[in-house]
Amino acid sequence: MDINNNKRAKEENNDNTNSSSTDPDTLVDEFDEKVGLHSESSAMAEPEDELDEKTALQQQDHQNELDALLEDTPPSSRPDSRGNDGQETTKRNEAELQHIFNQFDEDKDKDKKMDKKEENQQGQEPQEQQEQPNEQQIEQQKEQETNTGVDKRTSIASESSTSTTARPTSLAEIKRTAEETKGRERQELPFDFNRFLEQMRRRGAVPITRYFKSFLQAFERRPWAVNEQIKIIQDFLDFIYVKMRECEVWRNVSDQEFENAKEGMEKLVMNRLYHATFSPSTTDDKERDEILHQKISIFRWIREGHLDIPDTTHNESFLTFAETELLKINNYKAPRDKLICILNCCKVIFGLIKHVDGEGGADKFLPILIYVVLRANPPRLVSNVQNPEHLQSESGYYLTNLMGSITFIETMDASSLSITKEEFDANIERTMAELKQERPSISQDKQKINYDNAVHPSRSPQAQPQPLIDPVKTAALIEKGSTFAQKTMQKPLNFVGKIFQGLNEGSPGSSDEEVPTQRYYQQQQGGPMYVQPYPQQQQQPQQPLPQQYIQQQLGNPEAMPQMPPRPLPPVPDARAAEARREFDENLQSIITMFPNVEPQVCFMILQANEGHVGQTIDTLLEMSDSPDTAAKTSEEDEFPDTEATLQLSAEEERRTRDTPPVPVSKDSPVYANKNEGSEEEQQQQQQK
Amino acid sequence: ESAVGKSSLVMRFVKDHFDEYRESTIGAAFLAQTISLDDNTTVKFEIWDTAGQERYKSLAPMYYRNANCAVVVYDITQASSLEKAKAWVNELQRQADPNIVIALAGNKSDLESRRAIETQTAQEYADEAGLLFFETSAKTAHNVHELFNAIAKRMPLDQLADNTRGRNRLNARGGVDLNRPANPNGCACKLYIFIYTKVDLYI
Repeated sequence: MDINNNKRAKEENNDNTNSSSTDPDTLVDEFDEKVGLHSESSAMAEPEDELDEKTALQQQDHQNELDALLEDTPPSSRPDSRGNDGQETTKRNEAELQHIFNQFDEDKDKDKKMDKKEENQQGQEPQEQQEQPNEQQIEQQKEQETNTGVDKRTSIASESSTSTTARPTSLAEIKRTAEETKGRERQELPFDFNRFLEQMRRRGAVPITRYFKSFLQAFERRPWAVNEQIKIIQDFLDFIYVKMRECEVWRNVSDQEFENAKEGMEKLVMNRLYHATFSPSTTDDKERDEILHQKISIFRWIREGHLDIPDTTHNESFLTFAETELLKINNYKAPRDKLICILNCCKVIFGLIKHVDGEGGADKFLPILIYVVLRANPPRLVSNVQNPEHLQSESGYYLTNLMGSITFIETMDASSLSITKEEFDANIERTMAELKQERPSISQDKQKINYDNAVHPSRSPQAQPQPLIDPVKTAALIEKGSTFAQKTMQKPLNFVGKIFQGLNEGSPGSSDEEVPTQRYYQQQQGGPMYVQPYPQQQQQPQQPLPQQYIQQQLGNPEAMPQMPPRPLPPVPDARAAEARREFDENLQSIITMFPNVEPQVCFMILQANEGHVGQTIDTLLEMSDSPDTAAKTSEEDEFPDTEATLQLSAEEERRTRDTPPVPVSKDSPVYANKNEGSEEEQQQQQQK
Repeated sequence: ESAVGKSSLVMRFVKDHFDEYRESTIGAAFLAQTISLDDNTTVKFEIWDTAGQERYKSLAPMYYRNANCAVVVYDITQASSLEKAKAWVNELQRQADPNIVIALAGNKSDLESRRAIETQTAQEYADEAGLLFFETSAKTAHNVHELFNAIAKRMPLDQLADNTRGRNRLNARGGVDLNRPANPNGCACKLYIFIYTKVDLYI
């Protein structure tokens, strides 16, 4: 029963992720989890049952905690798709695991396996009977997932209408229209990671999944040098692409779809091998990360003037925005997703340049990028930019710029800045003293950093002490929150439980518990707390953090434009309120960004763009140029810019569409990343 | 050096050429342009702008690594800028790929009245150093296309084409493949050679 318990927890988590969104990374992680369990079993050679039991025992404490935390949850809040019958889901999950194990055993003998498969299909051999139900159950589960998706769609539709009636403002309608548009767009999405994963699960894809699994095992067998890693991964991808084309699932698909499948495969591989390929232990990246991070904190007194960046009224909003984009880099695993974060950041910087003086090349761009890096001080930046394969073309150029910025900062001294030696020294001294004073919190943070690194390399330490939140209070807030919020919060709590278990601390410090939420909050808000508040942020802090987080998760329909609609439980009021609030906030930010534009105009444009901030900014940028730059701007209109009429941008858009980070300029709200990112974060935690 | 008109020069080049190959989505520091040398050869420039300020000089190798050619720009109205350009040329000749094609461009040729560097002086230096040389005006577009055309012609195209093919294969395996050549007209009788060229601009 321990096992059941444990598995139910897992199942719940799975279901959470599945039902809360079928976004790609969720599924990856789900997929990952299977594979992970699978390789675990392979590593441990045989006794799966024992292993399971052991794990179950290990997690029991955690489970109890979790149960305790969830006990107060009203039953109705649990998603229907999970099945009211916990037993059933448990069984199903168990069966699935068993299935995976079986699969692995069979892996060793391909032919035998194929035979078995056939037999299973016919359901004849009693010995193999076991597997057949499993398959069926998986199918069932899949079906249920699909149903959930459908339900969700209807639920959103009904919600929208409810929200419209509940709050018959134009804002609500805007939201709804936006949602509908999104829904339509979604149908046409050329790149869909979900779809790829779905294809991977088809029976026909079994050979591919088998290759994939074997590859993962082989890869994990020992640490590889970075060059070896690159070569091995590339070789595998080359190999698997050929096999995929031969495989029945992809044999008859269009070239474009196959390209997508290839991309999906790459993303899957990179997500799966993230722990090994990101900041690998064979390099000194980690050390460089630390040093860079510390150096930037010592240089936090640097302002625009030190880098000869014109100090304008627009700087603050744009730079904060750029910073936010850059900080998202740690939310993603796949190199391409990270790259898109960087490109978004660069795009915002060019927005500023264009806004201030119309045009500008690297002379203006690089200093600002450096400044943004200094402001953002993104954790583990060095590791994040180690993508040797992406050093080409436009993205390569901007990646090079970021690497250049890092090098610049790493070697920065008084002579690199517009500052006298004396002033420089004084600033350093002062900051060192400040840092020393802040040490208690810093060392605490540092502890977290180390722990985080150990737990999961992608989780980002942030060096700002924040008000800590009582776990009890958090739980209470969760209780008050909507159903969806509860689901969302379960994961962090789950993770918290694991922390307790992992650390085996007699009295778990609230600081530890606080970590996930706090970090989410920061990522949601996109900025460390020491930066001057972004207009949007100023409006918010009336509610306690978790609640805020919940609401952001909950009510930001745009925040997930690329994903299938989420199965939100009906919470129309919260949703409409949130939609309205979000729109207002966005409007506020935009008005602040464009002081020379009538607020009314901002409102109209934002409305016209269906609340998409990125688009609105682009539009306003073009409109709001002062008369003397207007000529330039109109000339520049001929330049490739925001319109997706170009080959590349079209292509980029295609590539980017279904991935979490979305180019700022496109129809995507910049906020798109927020939820996605944090969700992935949650899953990462969940995985651990 | 900053403010000699690198960016404007590139803008001019990109803007006045064919529209269909413009590929900049982020900003003006990276621009791509394709020119046709003849019926069979198309050269695609990926132009990497570099910050010209002295404090970023040490970062330059990151930019010109793997570059096939480099354009070093000076300002004909600033006497000191040719000297700085020479320093860049020296560095490129020492550090960059030995096959790199280096062009020297004296920009702002429209400001004849404020000329501080004689054409003759620069031409002699360029000949001596084995550089392509043009006086250009980003403002009037004078010599801009000539400059890039000459660069394209100077490059060892066959060799590059081979490399490019190799690289494309590599790209096909990579994830973010923004380099993929658009299929030109699908016309089988013409051999289009796409050359991926990074042209770096200095000073």
